[in-house]
Amino acid sequence: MLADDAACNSRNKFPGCVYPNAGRGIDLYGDNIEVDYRGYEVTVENFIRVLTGRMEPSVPRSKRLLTDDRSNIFVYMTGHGGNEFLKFQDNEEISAFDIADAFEQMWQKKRYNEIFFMIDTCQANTMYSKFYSPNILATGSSRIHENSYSYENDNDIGVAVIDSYTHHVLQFMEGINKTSQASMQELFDTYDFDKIHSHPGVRSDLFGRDLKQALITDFFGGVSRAEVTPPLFHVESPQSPPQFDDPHQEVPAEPVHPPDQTTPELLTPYELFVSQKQLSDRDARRSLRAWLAIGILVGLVGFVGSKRTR
Amino acid sequence: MPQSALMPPSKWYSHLVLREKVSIDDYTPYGTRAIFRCRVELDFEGFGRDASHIANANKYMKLPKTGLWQARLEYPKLPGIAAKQAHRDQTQVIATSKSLHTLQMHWGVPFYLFLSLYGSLVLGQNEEFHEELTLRPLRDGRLASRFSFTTLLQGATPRDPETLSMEDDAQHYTLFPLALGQILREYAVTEMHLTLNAGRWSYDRWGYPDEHGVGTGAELWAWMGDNNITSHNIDQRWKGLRNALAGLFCASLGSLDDQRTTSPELTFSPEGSLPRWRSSHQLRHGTLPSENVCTENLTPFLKLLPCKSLSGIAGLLNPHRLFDADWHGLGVHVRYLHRKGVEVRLSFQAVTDPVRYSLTGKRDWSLRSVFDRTIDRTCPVARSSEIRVAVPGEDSITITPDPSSLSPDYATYRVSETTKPLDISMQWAEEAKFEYPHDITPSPLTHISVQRTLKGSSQSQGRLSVVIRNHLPITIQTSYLESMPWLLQFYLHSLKIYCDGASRDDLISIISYIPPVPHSRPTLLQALLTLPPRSTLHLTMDVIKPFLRYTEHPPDAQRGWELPPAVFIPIIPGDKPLTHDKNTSLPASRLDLLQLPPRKIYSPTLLVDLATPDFSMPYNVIIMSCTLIALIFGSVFNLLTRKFLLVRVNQDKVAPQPSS
Amino acid sequence: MSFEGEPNHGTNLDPSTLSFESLWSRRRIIASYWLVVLLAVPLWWKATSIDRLSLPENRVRGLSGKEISFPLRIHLDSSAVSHSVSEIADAVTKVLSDDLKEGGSGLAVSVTSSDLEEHKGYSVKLLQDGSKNVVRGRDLLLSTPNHESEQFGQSSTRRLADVMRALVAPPQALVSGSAQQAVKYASRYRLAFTLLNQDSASGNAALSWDIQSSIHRYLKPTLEKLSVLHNFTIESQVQLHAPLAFDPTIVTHNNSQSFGLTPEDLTVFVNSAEWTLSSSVSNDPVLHFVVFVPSLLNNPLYILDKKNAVTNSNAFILPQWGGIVVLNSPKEHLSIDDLHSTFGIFESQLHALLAVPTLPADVTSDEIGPFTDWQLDALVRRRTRENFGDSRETLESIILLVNQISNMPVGQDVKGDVQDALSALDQASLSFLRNLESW
Repeated sequence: MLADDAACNSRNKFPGCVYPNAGRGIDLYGDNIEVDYRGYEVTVENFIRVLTGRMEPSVPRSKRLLTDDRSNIFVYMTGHGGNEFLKFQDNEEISAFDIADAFEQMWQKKRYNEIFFMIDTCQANTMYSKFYSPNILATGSSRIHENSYSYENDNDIGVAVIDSYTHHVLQFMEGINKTSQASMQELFDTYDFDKIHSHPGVRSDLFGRDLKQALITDFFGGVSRAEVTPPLFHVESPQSPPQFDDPHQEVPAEPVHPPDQTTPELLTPYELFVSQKQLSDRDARRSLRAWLAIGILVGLVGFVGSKRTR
Repeated sequence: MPQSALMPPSKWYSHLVLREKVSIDDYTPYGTRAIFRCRVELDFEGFGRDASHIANANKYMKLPKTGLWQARLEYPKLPGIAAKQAHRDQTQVIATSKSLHTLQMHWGVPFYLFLSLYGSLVLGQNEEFHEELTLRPLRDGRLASRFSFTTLLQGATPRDPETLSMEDDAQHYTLFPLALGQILREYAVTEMHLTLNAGRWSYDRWGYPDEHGVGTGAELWAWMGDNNITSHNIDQRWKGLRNALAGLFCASLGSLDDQRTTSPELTFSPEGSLPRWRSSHQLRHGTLPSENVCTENLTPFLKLLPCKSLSGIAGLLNPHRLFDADWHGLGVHVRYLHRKGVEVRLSFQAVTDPVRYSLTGKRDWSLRSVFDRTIDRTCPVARSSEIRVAVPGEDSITITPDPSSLSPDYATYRVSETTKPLDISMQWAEEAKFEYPHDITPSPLTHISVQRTLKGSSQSQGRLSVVIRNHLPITIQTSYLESMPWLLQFYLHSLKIYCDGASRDDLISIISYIPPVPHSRPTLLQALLTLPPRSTLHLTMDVIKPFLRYTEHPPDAQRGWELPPAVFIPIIPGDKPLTHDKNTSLPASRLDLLQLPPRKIYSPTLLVDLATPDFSMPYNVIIMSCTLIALIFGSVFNLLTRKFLLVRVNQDKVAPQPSS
Repeated sequence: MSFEGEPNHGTNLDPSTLSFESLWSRRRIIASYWLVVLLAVPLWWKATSIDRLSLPENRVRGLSGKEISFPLRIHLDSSAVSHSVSEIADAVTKVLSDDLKEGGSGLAVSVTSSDLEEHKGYSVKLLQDGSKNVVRGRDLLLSTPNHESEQFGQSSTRRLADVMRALVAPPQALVSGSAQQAVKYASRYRLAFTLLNQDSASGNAALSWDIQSSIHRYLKPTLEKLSVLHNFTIESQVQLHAPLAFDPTIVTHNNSQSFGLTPEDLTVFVNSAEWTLSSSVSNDPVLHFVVFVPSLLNNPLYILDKKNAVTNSNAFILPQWGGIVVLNSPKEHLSIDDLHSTFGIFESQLHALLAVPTLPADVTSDEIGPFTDWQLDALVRRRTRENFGDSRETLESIILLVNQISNMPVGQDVKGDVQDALSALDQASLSFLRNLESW
């Protein structure tokens, strides 16, 4: 999801390129990037829909997060944020409660095995403080009441091109290849206030594994397991193809009913979409509302009654 | 047989039916159609192998010369569950080819028979791939380059929307892009054009473009067969197509919703042929002028090419240079050519400025200087791979290396015959430094030129002004299309035409006008303008700018809204020679193959500044209204419930006061 | 301070005679204010409340711990053995049900010896000729060693039970590949066949293939047999340039330089950034079958084991994703015969990905089809059990989620879907019981 067209903006002196530092060593945009959500499509609603998987049927495959309970997900967010919120497009924001609830829905729907959540905003660590679903490893760039600073300016473009924390993580990741055995603990050990100018945080209480055992490549690089297929020893001769001319396959007498698979998507349509802003207040607010109504009613009766008696 | 409930009907059917025989008793020709009386004998397993049930089909069957030959049969009521199922299904006929051979002979017209139930495979399809690059130096020192990659799937036909409820054939492609083919089949698209352009094509400086679709931003139009099945009706499929292409090309085409969809059939006539189906074809068109075009759009585009950008001409498509161009645009064009097949043409067009890249200020260019790449290898599957360089007549120019063939206008290189790496370059030897021409219109390159502006500083109303200049010494006509979102609403009664200062309302004839419906439907205005010889036509119309709902504003509302371009198609009598001039870069050998589409002229887009609220407004409103209510309520309530009493002031209590 | 005074009855200046000063109208004014407020309360309540229909929680809870059970009846024909049939049957039933109780497969097997004229279910025939054990349709011809013919002892019962158990409830080891390889159940899969040339411009490339006829010849029987469970959409494409994201290891094999894929390389083999393999149009799960032709620069390409020694296999499987075959020196056009071994591997990979069980080691099939009905039935039972469990868990998690997030609206469609799912589950478990009765 990219809200800005930074690479092809006419004010970018280097079209089709996004450089993470003034030295312009690596081009983050590259030659074959794909962006699934861009411009006005980057909204809080779309983000939560991607996470929870509640989409219209016509939404194409590339705009969906087709994950299951064996998938590891890496979520990286950056932008302007504050205490328990992150701004989207300068006109709406996502709160820590929204993300926490979305992750919980994902967990209940078996949409992930593990999540690695990384956020780089001001007061970033507050964003993961509300998580309550298992198997989430979270890290952020700065504590509450603390700013995240940008790393350096590119004078040719005239803007700051990267944040300190992201720059630092990127430096670490550049040393990792797809078959690397580096662990998460090694990444977190490199955090240094002198380099980042803020205190990055790590939250691993929800994460079931030891951070030394959790590899960076568990979340990056699209690594899958592979099993070698044993070579075929008994190969039928191609001249005797199996008899398939008769398409009338015998229906097995054994009663075989795969029950209708009730997928979460089917059962939880869009109405379930939650756009709450404050989760912890909700129960309080609900009961407050009830009490308020009763209070008004009682006060009203009392008031009218007292007027009458006078 | 409890399985049937869980199995799709066709599968169920295929399990059940052992043998089927179709015999045609008689037929009556009826135009291009024929009414058949068929006997269909089916052996059902469930009723014993010898019990055959005869089904009569008196349905109309369509007999096109090519294409899908199909019939729908109704089975008589059979006993038991099978009958219900069969009756409900109205399964497509499985005609044996034998019985149809006789039919063929009777009919005397060759037609192809696609029998489907068990995946009538797209047999015997040949796929051809042609690639071509045209380079054309422009008179303002720039270089227009146009890449064209054509894949022809021979013998294929678009999918008839009537067959959407049935299982589609398996898709097997060698060169044809599978990702695109799937979308075309899934949504039964006959013809489709998608362009993603950035910048404004300057007709006055650059003449007609090689690819006509140069409207700024994204433009998508498609011809699709209509049908009556509600789940697959044309608007559903248009929506699906938009979303699928948005996913494929990383573009925001999903927002081309009903508020931007029109059907301007006069301007966007089909470029290929439309197969004759039972239902007619319809056009859907939408533009998104604010769409950005960047590397993420080019990446999937390149992946659709058989050789990607790794060999052949496509190797020149370097995103870092292309997106630095003064104008660039990519296009995907799918059409059906009768008797040939389905053709997919991917095009990329760019106008680069070699003077900008040159250190010496010369307009000399080479492939390396323009694209920062050369052609190192041939694409092994390209049937033809040509680079054509337009040679400007007037200057002393050297082109290296030597072309494979040379015509007065064009130097042609056949990539497979040249030495690699191939780096074509063109030098103006006598020119020390290129001077940009001061007068950009010394001689017009197009028949007409168009200027469209939105006047007025108010946020509630304005005036649309279109200036059309006819450069030819003859009277010509041009079609005029405005497909405007409801963000700008026309006062059609205020439409005025001035020709060289004189009011001439007779020069316009409105062909169709569909007024907008706020928040749902755009305006569609199609008109025919008559342009007297060498005249200038001024067209003005008052417009209003409506208020938007709070939630309808984009995040950067103050920036304004981009409005789609107007489209003109000049109709020039005896235009034939002009289409074969240097401006069209098609090789003469292929001209007969391709029907030339009408030449469109896109006006620049407009930016309209709508009334934008202060987005803290809701809070202000809440505070204001609460204050007002509190004030009014308090004072009125106080006044109404106050008890007024006369107080008799005691004299002797008051009297001492002044003394004290 | 109150001004208590005598009302001036004599003058008409008395304000209490004003129309709005009457007690009634004042009360009415006050009452009307509160009436408005009162009327607004239900409106406010309605406007701010969330529509939450109650879900059938008890029915969902009632599902927990419920497993679907499959009654099986196996007919035993032991006319060749002199031992009493019913005794053998009872003994085998006992051993089998003891065994299956542990596995939790939900199978309730009963072996009968009743001489049914027409048996629809499974049948096991004991033979004495000492040849191999053969499966044919739903029949099993089990040979018993000659010396046991007189006395059908404990070991024979055990052996008979083991074979039958392996057939009706294949243990994890017999499911081709490991359990993790198998994809989740879906009613429709897309099978995407791709001929990938690493670099066709450099030579050594297969530019076309007889894919349609190959699928028809080699995979059609499997797909048709599996059509009870799944539908398949088939698609194929040829890609001429598919660069690898890494450089293969250089190894020496047969005294010549060749290239190898280490086990680590295999895990990152698929270059999803540059290969357009995924199908974009539908959301059905895709199973990929890739023929990879290495370029001249990386030819020949072998798969290495952990010690970097060349293995004799040229194919590997990526669990839940698909299978890949490396084809080192192809012809420019791969004919149906050239693809014979490749599609043999694809077939076995397809079996592994769709969790088709293999036959026990000492049992062979004499059918022409891809696999026997015993295997198909075992697969169907496995998938049914999985789906039943998944549906149950999904329903439970929905109930949990709705209770957990109290602001979440629950509309009629959600409720309807949950009810439909519940009745579908009930129907599924019922239909098995009904089938038991019908036998």
